[in-house]
Amino acid sequence: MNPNKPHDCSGVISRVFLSLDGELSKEQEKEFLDELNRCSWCLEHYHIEQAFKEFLCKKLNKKEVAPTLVSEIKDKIKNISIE
Amino acid sequence: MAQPTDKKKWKDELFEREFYPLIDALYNFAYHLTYNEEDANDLVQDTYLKAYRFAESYEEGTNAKAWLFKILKNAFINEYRRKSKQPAKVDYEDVIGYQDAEDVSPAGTVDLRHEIFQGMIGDEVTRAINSLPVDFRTVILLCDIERFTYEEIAKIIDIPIGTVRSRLHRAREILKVMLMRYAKSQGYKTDGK
Repeated sequence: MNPNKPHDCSGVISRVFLSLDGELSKEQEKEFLDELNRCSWCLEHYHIEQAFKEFLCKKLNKKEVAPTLVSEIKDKIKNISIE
Repeated sequence: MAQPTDKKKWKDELFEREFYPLIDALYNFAYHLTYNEEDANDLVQDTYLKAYRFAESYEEGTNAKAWLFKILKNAFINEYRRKSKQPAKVDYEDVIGYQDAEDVSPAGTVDLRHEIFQGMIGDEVTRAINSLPVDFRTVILLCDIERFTYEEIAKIIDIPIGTVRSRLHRAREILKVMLMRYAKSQGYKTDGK
């Protein structure tokens, strides 16, 4: 971290979801986190977006497949003959 | 039934090893596309039958999940989209208008850590996601729920990576506005505006 380097909030904010979505390389991620930790406003923004992503994962109803469908599909496929 | 051929044996083993373990994720995606268990069942079944027919074009050991999701998404677009029973749509323009009019800065005001959101039940969140236009819903499901990379999402839905990114951004903004509307209806006060 270079304390003399000016901090660019909009540059950091534009990378928040790239980081949360795992789209930054290790090097980019490190650079991003260094920048992020220099600004409490950016850090708060990051935590809010992180909470949003976690919220969706946690709250969205997961639908599990019925065992009958699994056996139906397997039966159909088992009976397909290949010329 | 015909005697199993080498080709059939290869396909059956491939399905057991790589494709069947993904059926829960495929079903979950199908359900959130169709909102309907019966259609989701048909869609998943179609996906496996198509995958069986075209198994030769799958390169073993590569990304089975992305390959199957692409088949499912295409089957949905081609056969189910028109007939799927969609719930009342949120008017997308209306949402954007709302956002402009009240100058909501979603990241600044929609804090999902607030107890009003934490108290939301899955049904309410699922309803919010389901009322997103299908193109927006798809990217949210693929990215946030199934954890595909932008590159995989681009391949699954046949759009450039830049479009994946902008569509995700837009989808999240709309979703936040919808969640904020919900929170306000429950008495949540935003600071500032």
